[in-house]
Amino acid sequence: MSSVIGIDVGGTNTDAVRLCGDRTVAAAKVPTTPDIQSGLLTAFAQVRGAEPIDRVHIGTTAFTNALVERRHLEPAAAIRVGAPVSESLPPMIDWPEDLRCAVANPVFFVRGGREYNGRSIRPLDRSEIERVATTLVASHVTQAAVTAVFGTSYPDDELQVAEWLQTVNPDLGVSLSHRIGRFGILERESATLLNAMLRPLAARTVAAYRAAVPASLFISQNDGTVMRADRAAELPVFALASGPTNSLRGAAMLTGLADAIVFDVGGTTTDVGRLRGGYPQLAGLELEVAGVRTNFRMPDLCSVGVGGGSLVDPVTGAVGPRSVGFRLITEALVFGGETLTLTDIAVAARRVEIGDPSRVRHVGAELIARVDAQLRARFLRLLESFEEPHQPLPVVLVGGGAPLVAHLLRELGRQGVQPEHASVANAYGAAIGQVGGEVDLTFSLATTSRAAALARAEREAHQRAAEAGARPGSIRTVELEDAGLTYLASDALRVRAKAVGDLDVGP
Amino acid sequence: MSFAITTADIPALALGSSVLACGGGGNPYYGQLVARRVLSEHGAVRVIDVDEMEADRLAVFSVIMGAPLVGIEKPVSLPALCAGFAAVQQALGDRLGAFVALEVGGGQSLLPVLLAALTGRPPLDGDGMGRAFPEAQMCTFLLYGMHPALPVAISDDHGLLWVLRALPFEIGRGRVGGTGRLGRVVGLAVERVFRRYCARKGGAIYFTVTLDHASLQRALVRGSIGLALELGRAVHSARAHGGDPVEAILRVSGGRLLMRGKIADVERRFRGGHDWGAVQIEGLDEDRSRRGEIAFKNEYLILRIDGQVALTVPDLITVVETATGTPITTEVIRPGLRISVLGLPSTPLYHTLEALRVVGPQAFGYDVPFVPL
Repeated sequence: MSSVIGIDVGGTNTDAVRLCGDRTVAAAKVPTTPDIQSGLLTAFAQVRGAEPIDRVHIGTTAFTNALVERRHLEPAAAIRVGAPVSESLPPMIDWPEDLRCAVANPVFFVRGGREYNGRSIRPLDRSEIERVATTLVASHVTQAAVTAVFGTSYPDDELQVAEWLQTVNPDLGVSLSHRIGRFGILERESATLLNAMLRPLAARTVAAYRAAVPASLFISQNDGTVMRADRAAELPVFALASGPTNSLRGAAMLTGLADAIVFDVGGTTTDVGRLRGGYPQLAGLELEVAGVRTNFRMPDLCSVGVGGGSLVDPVTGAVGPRSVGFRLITEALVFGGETLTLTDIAVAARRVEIGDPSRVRHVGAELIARVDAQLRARFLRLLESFEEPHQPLPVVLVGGGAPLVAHLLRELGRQGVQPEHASVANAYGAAIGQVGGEVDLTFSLATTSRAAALARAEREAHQRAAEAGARPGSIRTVELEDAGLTYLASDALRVRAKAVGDLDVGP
Repeated sequence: MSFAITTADIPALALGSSVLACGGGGNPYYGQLVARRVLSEHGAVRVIDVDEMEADRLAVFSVIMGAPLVGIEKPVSLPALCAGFAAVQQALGDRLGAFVALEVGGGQSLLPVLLAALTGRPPLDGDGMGRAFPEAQMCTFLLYGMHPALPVAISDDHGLLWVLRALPFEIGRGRVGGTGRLGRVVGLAVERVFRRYCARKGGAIYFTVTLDHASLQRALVRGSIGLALELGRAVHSARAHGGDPVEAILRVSGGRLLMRGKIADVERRFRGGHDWGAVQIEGLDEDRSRRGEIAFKNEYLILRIDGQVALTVPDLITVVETATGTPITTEVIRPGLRISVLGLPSTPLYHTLEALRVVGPQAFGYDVPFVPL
């Protein structure tokens, strides 16, 4: 029987669960510590037990925090392969000024890159690449991000540049854009640069995890899959913002529901997302990470300012968006504070028993009814924006604030499912992470049929999933879409494919 | 009635242009970044009305023929833009009065702003469509006739490809008589010849074309740049002050909310170098029980609600994200997005029988009459 531990290192708490097959063996919630690692070790120690552990999945905010705080970042060279094309939009043109100043990444435009049909824009020039490598050695830059025009479709130039760079300097860390992003040169290049800047931190973090955790180690990605720790050390950018995904996936696992709406009720906000086929429905718009626009796909979330710490107006009953946040345990009325919060309302209405109920005796039924009425209306709008008409979906409630609002969903005619261990859903999400592979390719229909193009993209996605550690028999395609290259008279076809599978762990 | 466009106005102009682009024109983000950079180096530009341009002066429009997808790997190329302009400028001497846009939408309506900033000549408040359309013959300049003996240049990222110092004949008016017929033929010929040429040249080529004052007086869709700017500002202001960005677009444009819903499905077919397809919409809120379908060919063409035609080209069908008012182009639209479908009135220049043959529903193969909004 395989045994896996999932750990979610959040801003407030570090959660951990141990699963044996689909059975929950242990769960723990401990405060996150400033150094992250000691909280992680405490949580791990509480759930590890005596049996051997096959693998440990960690969802981490370390890389997101490094970017947000502009700390632990390494300067990285931005090498754009495609001169003379694309120089009108230099690297990092849309980055926040303070981030650009914090790292001072040097920029190089070199000849190379492809047209959409694979023709070279200009041939690569080895001596030019070698000059770049020499300059980097002299200026002590240890990381490089290489981005070629149409590099996702034709990765050869990026691979060649990496080889020449490392011939001059074998110690140079090289991040290649075709392994990281999709179409859209600026967003892909930004993601590649962020990756390069995070790599030294990632290597240290993963090494520390490894030292602490004696098992096969995986890191959560933002698409609900996990990657091997050694890959995370090379591609930390994929671990950014994996928290919401883990919470949705955890809800799916805890309830066995593949299609549902998930309410994650925290202290300050309620994040609502939609599960489709066991995975989060993805958002359409571009994602910013620490003020930098990338082209990752993120879960489609609606956040409303309703949580356990939300301020409640004692007259109108209006809830949020302001919240007492982590000061709930000192500022809420039931905890001896002076602020009326949603938690106090729940205690007054006898929905939960915490703190000192005598301190909310003055909260009348009328105010409770007002609060409920407006929250009901807001929740109904949220439900409607995720559901098909006349096809109500099951609703899953997770997060610490779930008991405060469960009755509202019942009043809206929904069976709000509140699974056991709902408060550590993120750690479950980490524990059940699968592995995936993704491709985004352009074909010429003059030489390939559409069916053959789709088949090849699918095959390559499966192959990438296998390379990422998926067990061959379990790999399935979760995304396969084509879109013509609008406005072109040639028959170019763009195909995007993604496959996921269960991790191939020891016998 | 002139007005300034500063670096700070560019995001609003790009957003508003994309609202008017009806799902086409590609992703405006890159064009906006280039424009902000150029304006911050060269200063603001002053947009003028065509009546402020002297009658013996000429205007130049630049337009990129190509795919939005190519545009996000090879962003707007200043060298290409400048090479085309330099060639035309050489032929024009000092007769250049202003720059103008061929269409509003995506990065295209930022091109005259870029050229204006680089050269010091003003851009005009107007364009040749009042929206975006997929093909050359659909612009009002060709529909209503262009003057001969004016230079045209074609360029790409690598520089000038060729220059025609004068058109061999007058298009449309005069010699042939009926408005638009020859313009349509020329437009179709341009499409036939240059779409393929464009594909061979890496998927993006730049046309630089000269217009005389009389053509502009006849065919310019006036005020569209100012409208785009105002639309963008209204959306930004609504977002900043907790207002409804969709309401803001309707108020400024005089448009109508046609449907509110959620994208259920997007079907795409690839034919003749264009994206054809249909978007299925499930109604939300007041439209809860309704189902919508929008057919597109690069741009949104025709909206049906519960099987009934609700709006067609040439009127503007535009799709925006309900929460933010962000326009959603046909290239990126996909299931799950919560959207509002808006109808905006088209220019009366498109409402003649002759024009409707080129830009009406029949021109796109839909056998339904055009009923203006």
